[in-house]
Parts: sequence; C-alpha cells; structure tokens
Amino acid sequence: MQRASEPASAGGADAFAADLLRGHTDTIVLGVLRARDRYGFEIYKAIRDATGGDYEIKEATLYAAYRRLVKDGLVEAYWGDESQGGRRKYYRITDAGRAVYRRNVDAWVVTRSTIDSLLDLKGSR
Amino acid sequence: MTNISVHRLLDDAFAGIAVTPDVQDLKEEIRANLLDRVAELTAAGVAPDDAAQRAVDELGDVRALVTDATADGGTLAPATPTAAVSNAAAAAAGQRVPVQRRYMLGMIAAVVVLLLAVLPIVSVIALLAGEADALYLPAAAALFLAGPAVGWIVGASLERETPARYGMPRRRALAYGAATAVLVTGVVAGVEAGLLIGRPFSALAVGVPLLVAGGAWLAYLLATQTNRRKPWLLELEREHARAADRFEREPETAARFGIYTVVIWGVTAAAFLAVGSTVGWLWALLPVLLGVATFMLVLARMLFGRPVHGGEQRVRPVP
Repeated sequence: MQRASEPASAGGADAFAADLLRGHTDTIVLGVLRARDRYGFEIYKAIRDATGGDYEIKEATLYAAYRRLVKDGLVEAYWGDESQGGRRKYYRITDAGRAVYRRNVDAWVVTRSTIDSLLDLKGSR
Repeated sequence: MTNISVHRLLDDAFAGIAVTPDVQDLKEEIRANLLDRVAELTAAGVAPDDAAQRAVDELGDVRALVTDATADGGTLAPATPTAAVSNAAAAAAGQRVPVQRRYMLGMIAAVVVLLLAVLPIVSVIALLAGEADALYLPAAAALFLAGPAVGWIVGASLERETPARYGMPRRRALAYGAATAVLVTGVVAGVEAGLLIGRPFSALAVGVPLLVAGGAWLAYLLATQTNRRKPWLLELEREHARAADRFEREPETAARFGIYTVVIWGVTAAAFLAVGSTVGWLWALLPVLLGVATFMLVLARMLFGRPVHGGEQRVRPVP
C-alpha cells in the first residue's frame, strides 16, 4: 500500500498508516463483500474511496488476499456472465467469512481501545 | 484501440510465466479488472494508450504478483500436507469451543417442551383409547408445541460454533429454525386432521400448505447455503480427496480393480445359483455376503494399499 499521489517514502506517518491498513486486508475485503457480491475492481475502488483516495491497497496484495480467503472457505469465487469485455470474477462472502469478520471486528474494537489507552490518547491530546 | 493495447500489454506482462490453470485463471481475472481501470482513467481524460500503460504499470511486478497469488498451496497446486492438519483429532482439539450455558439450558427446555408436546397424545392414544374424548383436545393442541421446539433446536444449533464449523449468522439461523417449525407444524396438522380426527380433507387444507411453505423455505435456504467449515477441515478434505483419486493417478490400478470386480461378482453369481438351487435360496445369501465382503476388501486394498510406484519393487521369482 502506498500513497496514490506521491512515493511511499514521503513520511513515517504514511508508512505507519499503510502498515496498519495492510495488516487488516483480509478483514477489510470481507467487510466490503458483506453487503453484496463484488469483483476485483469494485473491491479495489471501494477501499480506495473509503480512504478518501489517499491510499490504495496494492493490487498484488488484494489478489493474494482473495486467494487466501477462497482457500480458507471464507469467500467463494465465481465467474460473471458478461458478454463483452473481460469476464469478471466475483467474490461472495460465506457464512464462515461472516463469522470470521465478526470475530475480527470484535478483536479490533478491543485492541483499538487498548492501544488508545496505551498511547494515553484520551484527554492528553 | 484501448482494448487491444491492454490485451497486448497483459500478454507482455505474463510473458515467460509458465501457464498453469491457476495462472490462466488469475490472468483472466486481472484482464477484466484492467479493462475497468482503463475505462475509469479514460473517463477522467487520460488518452486511451496512456491509460492502458498506466493501468498495467499499476499492477507492479506481475511475476511477484503471480508468485504471491498462486504459491500458497491453493486448490490446484499439489500441496504437501501441513503438520497441523495431518492429525484430525489434534486439529479438532485445537479448535475446542466451550458450550455456552445459554445453549445448554435452552436445549434442555426445548427437549422438555418437545416431551410435553408428544407425551400427552401418545398416552391418550395408548391408554385410554375410546374413552378419552375429554382429554383428547388438549393433548392434540399440545402436540403443536413440537414445531417451535424443533425449530428452536435447529436454529440454536446452527448458530452455535463447533470445532469444525463457524456459527451461522443469527438471521439465517433464525430463518432455518422458523422454516423447520413451519414444516413440523404442517406435519402435525396433517397427521392430526387426517388420522386422529378422521377428516382427510382438513388435513389437506391445513397441513399441506404449511408443509409446502416450510419445505420450499428450507429448500431455498439449503440451495443458497455457503461454506461454514473451518479452514483446517477444508484442508483435511482436500487431503482426503488427494488420497481417494488414486484410480485417476494410476490407471493400471483402476484396470486391475475392474478385472477383480468382474471375477468376484461372476463367482458370486455362480455360487448364488448353485447353492440356491441345491441347498436352498436362504443359504444362497451366504455367498452374496462373502462376495460383498471380498469386494470391499479389494476396494480398500486398491485405494489405500501400497502405491504401485512406491519405493520398493517386488520381484516375483519366475517358476
């Protein structure tokens, strides 16, 4: 993941944020798929738009994530029936994927408040 | 032409990479995504050829991408079994999920309700046949508790996480439970109206619609069901699939098995006729039983026995 407009080496803060995001790629993809089935470019765009266009998860990272999710049964892949252009490969979240998503989100909420208090964030900003 | 340059650039990017089914699959997936990215760039005012070049550049090193995306022992690659899943018992133990108190108590309550629903009508029929008109109606009404009870058991069990499966999302588990409850209630209504009250028509009027509705709902849920198995179980199943496809990997073993099959069943049929016509047809079942047993032993030996291409070659002395 890197800043869309400038090189990744622009600043330590960027690298920190990018690392944080990248560490949650699988959960982010599961979250994007929760509402409906999507194909690669839709997922990529949803993530890019959600970060306000500041970051984009590298496509290689995403393709590896899809692969991993399919292998673990958290996501199912199927080819769309587009008649022209390339055929799109859609991804659908499974019940297992929803369970893992829920669990990861719970873990994130707990961790977030732990980190917040460790960084002494509340009040002393 | 935008499209042509995208396709050419994609081919260039994949040049020199061995084309396995996995890689081909990935390439087609990337192709559709590239086309969309190019369309987006073009819409933003980038010249078509530049857009194609930029979209492909954004992919980064395709060789690394292919390695990342296909080298993780995916479904098509022959992966070596990981130690974690080689022992199913160990894997299951590592996934132990404590039983929730709420689930236990609910289960006990549901079973009690189920007994309360079924026992009165059974006792009325069994003990007081003919003279139980006064008890008959409440007992028949109590039987309708069975539907909700069974529905609750189904729904709660599906929502629960087990060592092998993730829990089902609550709404979906609820739907399964409700569909089962409708189905069981349909059966209850049908049986009561048809057999107990002796009015077949009302059995059709009340039971069948519920039965059909519940059945259709369940069928829809089952048809749209997605995976709930945990990764370790999926991996285990892949291993088993690899073990069981021996006949595909070793055609000569399959051919030998075919010959054995013909011989075993030919001999069995002959013995069946011979014993049947002389000793008696009941005794003729014995050779059939022996035939089935032999067949199963041979099948097990062929599927899971020592592989033909194994390390040691057995050489038989020529007589």
